[in-house]
Amino acid sequence: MVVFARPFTMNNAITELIERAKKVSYYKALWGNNTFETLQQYPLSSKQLFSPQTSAEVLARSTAILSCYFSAGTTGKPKVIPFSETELEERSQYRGTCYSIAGISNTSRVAILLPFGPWVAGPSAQHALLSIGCTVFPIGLLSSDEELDGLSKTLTKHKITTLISTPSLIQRLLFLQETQGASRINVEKIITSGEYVPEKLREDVARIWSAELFSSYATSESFIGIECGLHNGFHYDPEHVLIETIDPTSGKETSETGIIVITAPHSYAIPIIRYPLDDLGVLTTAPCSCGSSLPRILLKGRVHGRIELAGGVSFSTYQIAEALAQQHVPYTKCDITVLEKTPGRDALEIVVHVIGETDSERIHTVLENSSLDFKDVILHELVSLTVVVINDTSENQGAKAPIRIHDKRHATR
Amino acid sequence: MTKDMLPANLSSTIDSLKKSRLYGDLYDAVLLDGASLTDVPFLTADRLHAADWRTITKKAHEPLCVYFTSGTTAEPKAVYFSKSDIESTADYIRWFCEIERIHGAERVIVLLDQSFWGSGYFTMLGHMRAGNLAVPIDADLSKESIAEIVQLIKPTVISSTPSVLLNLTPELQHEALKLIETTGELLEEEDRKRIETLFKAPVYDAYGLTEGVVGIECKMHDGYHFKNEILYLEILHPETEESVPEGDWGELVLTVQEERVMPIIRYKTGDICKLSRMPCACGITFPRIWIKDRKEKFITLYESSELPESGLRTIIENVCGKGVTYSYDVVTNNAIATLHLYLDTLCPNTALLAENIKSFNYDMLYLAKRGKLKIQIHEKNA
Repeated sequence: MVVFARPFTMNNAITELIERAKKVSYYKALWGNNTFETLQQYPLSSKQLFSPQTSAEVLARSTAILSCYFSAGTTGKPKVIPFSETELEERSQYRGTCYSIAGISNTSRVAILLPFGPWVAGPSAQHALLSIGCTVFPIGLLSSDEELDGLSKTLTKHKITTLISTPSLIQRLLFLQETQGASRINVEKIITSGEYVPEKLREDVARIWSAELFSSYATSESFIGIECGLHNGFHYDPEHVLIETIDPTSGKETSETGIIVITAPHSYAIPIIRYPLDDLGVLTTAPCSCGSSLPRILLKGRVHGRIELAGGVSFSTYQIAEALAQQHVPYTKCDITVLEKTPGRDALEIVVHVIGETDSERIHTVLENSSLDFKDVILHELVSLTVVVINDTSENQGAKAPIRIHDKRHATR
Repeated sequence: MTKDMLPANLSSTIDSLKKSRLYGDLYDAVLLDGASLTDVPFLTADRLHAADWRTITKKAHEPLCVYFTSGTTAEPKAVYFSKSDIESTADYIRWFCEIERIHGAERVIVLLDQSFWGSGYFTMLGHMRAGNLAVPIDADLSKESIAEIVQLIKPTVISSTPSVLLNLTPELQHEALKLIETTGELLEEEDRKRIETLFKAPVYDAYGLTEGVVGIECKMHDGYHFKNEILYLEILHPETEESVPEGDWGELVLTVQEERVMPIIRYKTGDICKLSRMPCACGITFPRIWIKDRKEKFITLYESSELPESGLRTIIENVCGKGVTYSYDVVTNNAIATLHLYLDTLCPNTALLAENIKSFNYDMLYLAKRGKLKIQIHEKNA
């Protein structure tokens, strides 16, 4: 059953969204004085939408902004994500509705093991769960094994039924329980976000906890969707998020795998219109056996050499390139290898071939500070970083410097 | 509320508590007909935190939010909040903003724990209700990240604990600041002056507990105003438990007159306070309370984490034997608190002593596991 018509109907919500966007300098520059008949005719926006300049402009202009959260930017500077009260409420309700798809209800007792201030993940989940009447335990993203073990006892005492967390932290809890004798948590459901979910993790959750894992799909800009019990794609509601898939070569919409582009009709502080994510996916409106009429998005990979690390942090080759460029580190190539250090903990080795400079400590600092949340997960020992600097004396120093990511974790997941 | 009257809502609450047994048999002997407040037994921290949460009546579709406090054991204690509890607490903190005259269009960085302990969450909500822009930050974010956020937001107000403010001063200083809100720790006058000098902004201290937010300083900075239609405060002699004259010091006993999912009625706070209804020079007519100390002395380490002195004494006795004399000192530097313990004798097992201190209660565990607590034991004749 087709749920939405293409092209997207310029209904009141989208019309009002575009009117709001016209007040933002970024969109003024992007659109000029043009007005288009359909949403798809508007040009794609970009990461610059959440630049510090846009955020500063929005914060200065509007007294309706109640709160800000942050996310890693790709330019080394954090993304500021402002919220109005209306936005907070509507976003919470949508996310809460999505949790209901995974069977979360007002009888659920849910512990949130996601990052909180200044990150949006934890508070967003909290508001969503409160909106559907759950009993909510905001915990935070714990990093030490002793805290996790202690917390397991507390959560078991309070009869937690559901955990919301990152796959790496769930993996860590399972590892501690199975191999280190840590206290068992008795839960029925796990909802993950922020990272790729290996199939083995689902199996381990079922085997060790007799629980079911539901993956959700969210970015800091918008919550998008969630799996149903069939775990075959993320159901989403086009009333709350419009999704297109764009062929990266032609720039046109495709019914095959393409770059995921979102429009959030209920975004107020910074209107989100045709905003490309770093994910590849394919849409389907084929009926789902769960009975939901909501369409699904199936993820097929990442663009721009981007991966997720333990702690739900996105990490990209672009951020490395930007960090090295801003600090004037001349390099000829850069290889990033990601390994699983221990279950739920990642080890990152970055080998940088540089011209002239051999101050590896400075380069380590530059890379560690390439984004705010990357630094955070290093600080909390969820990710360890090793930087190897090699002085490049080769003759191809003028060649374009590639940065490659070698993710070797999947072999162990 | 007068001594001779137990309001209908509290009477009804106690009646519900008798049936639910949330606090066990605490109210079994209370005869509600003709009862006054002084007929109601005290609620202690141990009894509150031993509450059987399974007896909390949760209305369908009404959410509950659970925060924790530390205590005297390694297990944190849960405090349950209903949606209306959250709303009323947030509204009370909004009133704080009115007293501080920062209601509307301020940029507030709330540098308090945003999840487990609850203080940050309620402070955020209160500022948002006051029409301020509230930005949450956990204090265990990297210093560079905190500095970056401060530069982006350009805050006019920072809300945090005194120890965090003094440890992260370079990262938090900003020319736009016009007010510092402190909470979570006893504010020494010396620390107030230091903070005001370093940040070039007045300090407004707030006083409260996870179990109940109490009051806020006005511009006179002489006591904490509280809303007496919401809170009924008694000051009792710590030993006789009799009321003391107005203006005398005694233990604060707190009653929240609003309906709560975990009712707070005659809750012994352990804080030594005095109360006055004398007019304040600021013009606000709400009475004031002052806090001098805790009934039991606590050692403040960092970020509101505390170790009871009696607990330290017990640990030392258990490891080193009775009769050991000691002194201690806390030095906080670079967001790490070091507890220096000076023993007048050799300790048979310093590693065990340090480990027991670090795991004494959840506050200690919380700090230690984040690498923010060190113990240095200095033995005489070592």
